[in-house]
This record gives sequence, C-alpha cells and structure tokens, in this order.
Amino acid sequence: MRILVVEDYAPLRESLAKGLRALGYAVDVSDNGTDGLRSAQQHGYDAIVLDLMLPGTDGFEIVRQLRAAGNDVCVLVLTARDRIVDRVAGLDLGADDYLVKPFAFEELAARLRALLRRRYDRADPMIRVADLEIDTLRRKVKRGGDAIELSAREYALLEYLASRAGHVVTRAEIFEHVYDAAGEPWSNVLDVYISHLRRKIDLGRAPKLIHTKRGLGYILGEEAA
Amino acid sequence: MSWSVRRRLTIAIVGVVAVVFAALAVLLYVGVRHSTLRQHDDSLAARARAIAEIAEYEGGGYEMPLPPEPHGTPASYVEVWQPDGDVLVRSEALGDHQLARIPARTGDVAYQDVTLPDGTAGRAVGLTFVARGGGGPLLLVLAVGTQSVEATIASFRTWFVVLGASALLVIALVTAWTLGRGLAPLERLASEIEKVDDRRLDTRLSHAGQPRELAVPVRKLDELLARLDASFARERQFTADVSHELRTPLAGLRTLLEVTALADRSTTEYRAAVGDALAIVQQLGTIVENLLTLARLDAGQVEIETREVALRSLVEECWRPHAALASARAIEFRNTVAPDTRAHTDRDKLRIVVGNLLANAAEYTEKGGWIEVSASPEVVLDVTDSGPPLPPEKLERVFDRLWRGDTARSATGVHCGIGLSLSRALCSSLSYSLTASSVDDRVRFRIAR
Repeated sequence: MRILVVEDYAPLRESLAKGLRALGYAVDVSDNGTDGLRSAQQHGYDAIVLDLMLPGTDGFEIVRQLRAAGNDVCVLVLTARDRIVDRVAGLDLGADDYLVKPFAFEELAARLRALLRRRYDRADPMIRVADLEIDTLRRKVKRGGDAIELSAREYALLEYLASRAGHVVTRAEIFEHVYDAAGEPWSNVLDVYISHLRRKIDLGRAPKLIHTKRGLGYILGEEAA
Repeated sequence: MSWSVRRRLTIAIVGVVAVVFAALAVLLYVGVRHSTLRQHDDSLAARARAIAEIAEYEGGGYEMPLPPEPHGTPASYVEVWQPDGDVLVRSEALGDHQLARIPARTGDVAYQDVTLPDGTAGRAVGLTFVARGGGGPLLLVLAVGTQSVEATIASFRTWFVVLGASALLVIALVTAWTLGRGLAPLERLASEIEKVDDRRLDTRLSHAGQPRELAVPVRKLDELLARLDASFARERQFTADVSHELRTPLAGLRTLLEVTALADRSTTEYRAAVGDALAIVQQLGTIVENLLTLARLDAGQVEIETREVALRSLVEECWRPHAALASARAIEFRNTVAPDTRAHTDRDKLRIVVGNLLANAAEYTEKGGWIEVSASPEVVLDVTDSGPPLPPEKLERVFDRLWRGDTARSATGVHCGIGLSLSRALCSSLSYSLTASSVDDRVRFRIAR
C-alpha cells in the first residue's frame, strides 16, 4: 500500500513517514500543498494523510480538486482546528476521515487501515488464499497454521498481491502501490523480493501460490491461470 | 421602582394645566359672579327708582300709591320711610317683618344682603330720594329673593367644573398619547439594545427615524458595539491561532515519541529522537512565551520601561544563540552598529524583536550568504540578509499572525507564524515601526522611529 503524507511541519512529517513505513506502507512525503497536489494527481496512492493548513495550496483545496477530477483516493485529514465547522468542512469537501492534532499514532494507523479496508471492499481483515492466511489488521501471515516472518517490504508486497488474488498484477502497479518514490524501481529489486516471498511462502508447500506471468507481471493464486 | 419619563411628564403637564385651569376657573367664576350680582343690583336699583317715581309730596304730605302685589318677578318687598322716620308705605307681604333701613346719601343707593320674611336669602337696595313736588328725603328699601340669581351662578359654577374637568381629561389623554409617540423612538432603541448580547455583537442600531437628541447616543453605542465586536473577534482569532500554533508542535512531539517507542531502537536512534524532542519542546516554549506576550500586548497589559540602550552590544547578545547554526550554514554575520549608538527605549522588548529578526535571518538566509545589522540616525536598526528575496506581495503578509512562509523560505518547516507579528506589535508598543522590503536580492527588516 502506498501512502502520501502532506504535512509542512518537519518533525511530524518525518515521524509519520517513519512510523508508517515500519508498518509496511510505502510512504511518500510532501512539505507543501502545491507539490502534494501534484504528486497525488500523478501517482496512484492508496491513501493520503493530509494536513489542512499548508503553504501553497491548502488541504481543503487539494481535496476539492482531487474529488472534482474523480479521484477517489482515501483521504485522512489532519489538522489543529477542532471546531465543528472545520471538521464538517473537510468531510463535506470529500475527505474520508478526520483527526485532530495531537493524536495517537496508533489511532491514525487504525483509521488508515479502516479506510484501506473499505477501499478494497473487505470488511474482514483476513485474506485467505488456499491455506495462506493474511491478517491485515495485525500484519501477520500464516500458511498451513504456521506463522511466517516477513520483512515490512515483503509483507507489503504479499498483501498487495493477495488483495488482487486471482488477477495479474503488473510490475508497474506493484511499484505504484507498494514502493515509494524513494525506492528505485529496478527490476531486480522486485525479483529479489519475489524470490524471498517464494522461499518463505511456497517452499516446501503446496499448492504454489506465487506465479510469474512472463511479460505481464505476477499473480497470486492456486493455479497459474 | 422609578416612574417612567412619560408618566412623570404627563403628570407634570396635567398638573400644571390643572392648576392653571383652576386659577382661570376661579377668576372667571368670581368675575361672572360679581358681574351677575352687579347686574342684579343695578336692576334692583332701577326698579327702586321706578317705584320711587310714584311718590308725591303735596300739601305738606307724601303720597305713594304702590301698585298691587306682587310687583314683578321675583317676589319683592318694599318699605318707604318718611324723613321723620315713620313708615310711609310697605308691602303687605312683609307682615310683621321690618326691612332694614339702609342708609344712603340723597339720590344714592346702597345695598345689603337680607333675610326675607319667608326665610330665604335676599338682596335689598336702599334708595334715598326726594319725591316729586319736593319735601325731605324719603328712604325706599326694595328687597328681592336671590334664589334665581344664585341658581344662575351655581349653574355657571357647575359648567366651569364640568368643562374644566373634561378639558383636563382630554389634555391628559392627548399629552399621554403625544408623549408616547414622542418617546417611542426611545423605547424602540431600548428593545433593540435589549437584543444585543455576546453572540450578537454584530447588530447595529437603526438610525432611521431617530430624533436628533438620540443621534449621539445611538452613534456612540454603535461605535462601542463595533469595538466590542472587533475585540471579541480578535479574541476568537487569537484562540484559534493559539490552538493551532501549539497543537502542531505537540502533534510532532507526540508522534515522534510514539513512533520511537513502537520498537526497540539503537542508542543512536534514541539519542537522535531525544534531541529532536528537545528541540520541539524548546520551540513550544518559545511559542507559548510569544503567545502570552502577544496576548498581554493585545490587552494593553504590557508596561514599557525606557532607558538608554547600547545597541551594538544588544545586537551581539541577540546574535549569540544563532551563531552556531549560522556558521554551520556558512553564513557571515556583520554587526556594523557603531559602539556609541544608543536608543531610548525598553531594552527587553527590543531584545525580543531583534532576536526574532536575527532568528529568521539565520534560518532563511541561503547557505553561504550574509546577515548585516546596521543603524543610522533616522533608523533604529536594519537587519539585512543576502536572500532569497521575498516577493512584493509577501512583504506585508509576512507580519500576519497565521502566515507561514512558502517553501522558498521554510528551511526547517518551523511554524513561526507568531514571531514576526509579535515583533511588529512590540515595536509599535515602543512607538517604532517594523517594515520589510526587498532591495535587489536582499531582504531588509527595518525598525524605525
């Protein structure tokens, strides 16, 4: 999952990015509204964590423009303003959720998860493919009842493939949704992670779940379709 | 409970009118009565004279054939005495009653109130005359009842009272109504004012149809309301500013510490996090101080203590905390203020201003640039840096309370929205002006008298 954090206060911005990356998200950051809006328009993010008071284009305007263009990315708005009129304004313009600063990081993470669940149409946090069980809430993976340890990157990749289970996922899509702009989209980095996943998920088990579609991408499922 | 103006005025006016009416009525009544009685007396005298014509003196004796009774209306009684005191003639109706002998000079009349034989009140006239044919002076006394006259006078009295009372009533009503109309604007004003409370300070009183006397109070009240409204708006804005300015660093501090605590970290990481946290805490402290000072300035609670201030050493003192950051960014600092330059002002306040300007300069001047502080006879202090420059439209906005610079001038993303507006407010409390300008590529902040 790829997240954009737009916040002009550096300490908060950096801590948010660090915390979200630790949870397995690919995080891009922006310190002003103009760049933030441009990034949101050019890349397909799964969610945007957006401060309302920004230099350049302010948060309200960003939400308005994204929605006007038909962009339905999940938007979680952060702000220091707690008056009802401000909360309502943000939500009415098209934001999906609202957190008042200062907030608990855990709460931000939980609300993000809730938003992302809705986006991918899953009320149930569990993804099951054959005997592979992914608990997206606790970010825990089990296969055949055995817990599997994955790094944050590996987990992010696996979760994305599993959320699109049965469909081919192109390398481009993986880079869009799983890796942030800081990660270089070198082909072999992805190959390395795929091979790590295969070793941990498929090795010594059946059925094999991670398949390569030459020239297209990857697909997670019981059979190579 | 005090009476309303309307009631007081009505009572006063009606009271005065009543007194005037009463006085007039009394005078009129007295006059009318007097005149009526006078007329009655005159007619009485005329009748007496007419009767006296009948008397004749002939051959040493008097003759006076009285016409048959009763003589005219109202009923009257006559008695005539000869000069020697004997009764010449008298009305039979008199009976045993003697009329009073009313003395008067010859040819003259005199009047007297008498009681008639039937017990009623009467008026008598005494006429001393000489009969036709000569002889001594005869005395004729004619008495009539005064009941009808008194009745006429009484009816006058009644009329006066009734008319007077009615007129008074009408006047009272008209006065009350007119006063009511006249004072209506005041009552309208009162009900408008009643509606004003903290939440509706934007109401303005209507000026239409206000009488001249109320123009000044209404205008003054409007001005007062406007001032209150502005003051409340400032307070609301300030509260919004405060909550915003404090919450963001607090959020940064909280998230930093929470994220750090999410997992075990290396000592280096912990040290870095603690250092970052400390920096934020210091920042919070400065913001709180700035906000408090700004609040006190707003409320006019700040006292100015003026003394001679040595400017060069003040500048040095203010620069010291930023020297390290500046040299890390290869920024040169030049203090060109002459050692004997002095200003007559409040040192602590000026120190905050200069400190803030230098802090801004140290943060925003691009690497490898310079910062110079200078003074001249017309200018208290100039703080100039080598840039990047501020675009013209930002030169004034920089002093707005909630304005935060755009990316061109936010090196650390620090929210310093309060610093410059506080500096300007402090300057104006010192009777200085603080302005920003961009000359070539430089930015200059000027403190001037």
